[in-house]
Amino acid sequence: MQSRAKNPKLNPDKKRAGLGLASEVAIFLGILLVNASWFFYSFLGGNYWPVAVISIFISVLLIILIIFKSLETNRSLGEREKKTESAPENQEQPGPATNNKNKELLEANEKLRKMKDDFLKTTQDLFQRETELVQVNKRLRGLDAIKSEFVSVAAHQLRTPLTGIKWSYLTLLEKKTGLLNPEQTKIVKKGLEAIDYAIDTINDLLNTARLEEGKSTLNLEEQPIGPVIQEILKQHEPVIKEKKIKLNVDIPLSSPLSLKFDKEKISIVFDNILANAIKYTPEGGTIGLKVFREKDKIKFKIEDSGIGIPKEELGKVFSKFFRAKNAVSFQTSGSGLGLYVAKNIVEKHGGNISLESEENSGTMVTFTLPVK
Amino acid sequence: METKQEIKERVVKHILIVEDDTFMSGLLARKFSSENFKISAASNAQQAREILEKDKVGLIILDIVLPGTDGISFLKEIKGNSRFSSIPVVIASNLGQPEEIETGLKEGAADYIVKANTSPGDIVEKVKSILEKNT
Repeated sequence: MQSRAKNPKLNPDKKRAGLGLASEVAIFLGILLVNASWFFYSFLGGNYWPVAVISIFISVLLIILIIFKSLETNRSLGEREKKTESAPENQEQPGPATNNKNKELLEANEKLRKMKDDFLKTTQDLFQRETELVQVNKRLRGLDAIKSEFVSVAAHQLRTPLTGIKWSYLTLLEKKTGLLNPEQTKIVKKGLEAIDYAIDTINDLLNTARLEEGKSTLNLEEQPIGPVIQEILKQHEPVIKEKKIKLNVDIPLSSPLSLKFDKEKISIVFDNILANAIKYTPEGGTIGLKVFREKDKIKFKIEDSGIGIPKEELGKVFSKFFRAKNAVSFQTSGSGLGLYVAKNIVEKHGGNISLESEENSGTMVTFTLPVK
Repeated sequence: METKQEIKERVVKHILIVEDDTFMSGLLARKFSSENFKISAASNAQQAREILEKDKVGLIILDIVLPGTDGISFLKEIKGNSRFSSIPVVIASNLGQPEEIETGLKEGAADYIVKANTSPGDIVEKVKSILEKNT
């Protein structure tokens, strides 16, 4: 409404009034000019001067009247416009229904405006959150790098003195450094076992940390599984002999049993399961290792005649840091990470792992790896 | 007068151990010596450079955490120098994260050994196997 008042093109009433006044003045000025001509003609000897005087008088009166009327018309138009500007709602003289409608429209408009403000605020908040998230993400990546470096350095610092002791004991056990008496040999060997246990625990913790960070990627290669099993068995051979455990290995020689797997990771699986079987099988017990193909997977069964696991604790065997009550009393050392790590690795390969056990009777761990 | 074959064998049987822990390098040197290897020991990269300049070496056992130039930088230096690039390098370190092993092998190491998980006897066997492959 305001813009209409300010724009002459949109104000036809006022414009029309101005044009009318000009044309009327022009007409009566013309009449005045004609009568004036007659008046001056009378001075030159004509007999029309009384008529001319009366005509001029009437013309002047009419011009004054018209000017006055035009001014009045303009004034009333101005006032009307002022009213329109100051109270636009009165322009159409609305009824109660129109008033309600207007009120609803105003309310809706107000709601829309509020929604627009809210939307703008939400958008601003989202942008701010995004910026914050980017910053937090950057900080977390930085912390992750620090954590990884810390784990790496901590492992190095813990391993270094243990390596020193381990290599010293190994050197002492060599004949070239001079023979130890049986008692000394026994002490040094026990010391070596303790060192190896500490190193294994560090390795288990590192493996667990990597699994939980999601950093443990597989380096899959098509290869025979036999040599991996033989290597692990070789590592455990001294303890198996020492404990006089009977080892039954059943791996088909006719088939190479090749499949895609990460050698380092699957070695950890065998090592952890076999180490448990050896640790919890009393002297003179039996351990069986069977490998066979079953449809599109290779199945591994590691069975022992050890102390077993109480029935009520079977559900927790693959949990992190879990150790059965009878296991703790039988062998105090153990991190409780072996089966947790093994399960993670087997499942990452697309296989599965299960455990059956009976207390004081034995345990059988079965796991599968897909052939393709 | 040494024959060419004898010279080659003598060079091959010369092992340079780059390890800042002299006790550890001593234990390793002892085991290698018992297997008739000639051993030179350096406790940092600078000493190793001097030995390489003076004498011919058949294989280098290299630690990563060293004072001054670290093992990986020294490995890059060796592999970038045409005079020494053919010498096999076995990394023996207690850093053993998969990324660290991958970096070492990518930079040209013949093998990567985590010291805590092995013994001097195992290292000697590994070195013998690498030297046999290279001859």
